[in-house]
Amino acid sequence: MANKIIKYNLTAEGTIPTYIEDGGYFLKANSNASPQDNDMIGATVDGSSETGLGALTNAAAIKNYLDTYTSEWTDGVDENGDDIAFNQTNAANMIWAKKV
Amino acid sequence: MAKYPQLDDCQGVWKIKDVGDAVKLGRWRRAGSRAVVSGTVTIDYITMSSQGNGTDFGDVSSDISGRVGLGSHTRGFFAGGNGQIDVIEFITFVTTGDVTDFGNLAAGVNLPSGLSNATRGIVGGGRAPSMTNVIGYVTMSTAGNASDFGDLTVARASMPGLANTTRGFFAGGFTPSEQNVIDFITIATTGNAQDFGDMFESQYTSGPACSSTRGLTMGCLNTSITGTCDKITFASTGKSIRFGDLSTIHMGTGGASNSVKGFQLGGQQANGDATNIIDSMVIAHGGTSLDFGDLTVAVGGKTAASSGEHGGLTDGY
Repeated sequence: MANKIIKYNLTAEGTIPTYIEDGGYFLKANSNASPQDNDMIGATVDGSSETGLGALTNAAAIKNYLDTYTSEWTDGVDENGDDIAFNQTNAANMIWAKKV
Repeated sequence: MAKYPQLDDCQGVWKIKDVGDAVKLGRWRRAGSRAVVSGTVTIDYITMSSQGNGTDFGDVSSDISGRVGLGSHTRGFFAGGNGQIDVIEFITFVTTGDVTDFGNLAAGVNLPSGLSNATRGIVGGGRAPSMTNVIGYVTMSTAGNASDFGDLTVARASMPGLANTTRGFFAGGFTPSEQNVIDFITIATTGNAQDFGDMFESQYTSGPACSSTRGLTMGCLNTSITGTCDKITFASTGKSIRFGDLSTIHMGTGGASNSVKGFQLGGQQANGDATNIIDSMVIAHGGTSLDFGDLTVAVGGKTAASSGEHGGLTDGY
């Protein structure tokens, strides 16, 4: 068995799709009405064939996708109060680690 | 739970037995009810019905920020913290002193969100160190480790937790981009969160306050530090609305409330300095917060607070 790392939306009722095991990561705003106004990344349940808005088939594909909308993200501040840049590679690896 | 008339709500008829039970079980609104706050090692308390300064209550177990606070009628809890701490500890509101160990979260988290009704304490999200979607719960009367409740719709941190006796709400947050999402859960069950609506604008790290019908998010970070306050009406889904301002521009306050007033304790000012300001706002009215007093120490923008009289406990009284 295996799962997939996919892009997806919440259902029209605002619930997490039943095929998502672990999701809600790294939202990208879209033009849909709430509650489907963000594309999210998540891992499907083991054995699911759902691909949502599209499968991300490896860590590099996740990073490439994150690179398209996260260039201005910051990830908190350091001990000097300076912004810490969002690390797309680390984020992609964290997500890909949810692949079984 | 029956609805009990109070000083600010004298309508209706109630049974003496219900009142007696409420008093015996510690859920009768008390004139001396307290809110506690901790941003470092020190715990301060205020008496919510009496304007004045904070008083030293005791200490938490370590000098860290980034905890979350939540409360039952009798106990105040602190959980998580900077460095991905998994510790849950508590104080008893009526007795000053240091915290007692309660148990552990499923995993250590920094800047999680927390809320509660009279029975369950809920801790959701946070940084572990990546953003997490995990919601856990404890039964506040019985020490022990947190159990899995479900998942947030969005993995995030630094979002205020609000509650009435039935539902819990997670408002805004940081993913690491600012979010406008409001999730809700049904506290008495377990299961995943569901989308409730959107915040007035994307924001995070504001302090929570709630009555049984309304939740306030007070002083947020939205690109810059603001002193703005927004209101969520629990009975209706939809957008939060802008509802007022703190007395000065600051954010990351420790939020607490009884069912009448919301209190914002400490926080981070626009120049980055910690503050000891205590603000109060009548939850039904909004507007500009009033100065309530000062904490014994200034606490920064990752401060935790709780009370034994908030909207998750009071069921309309």
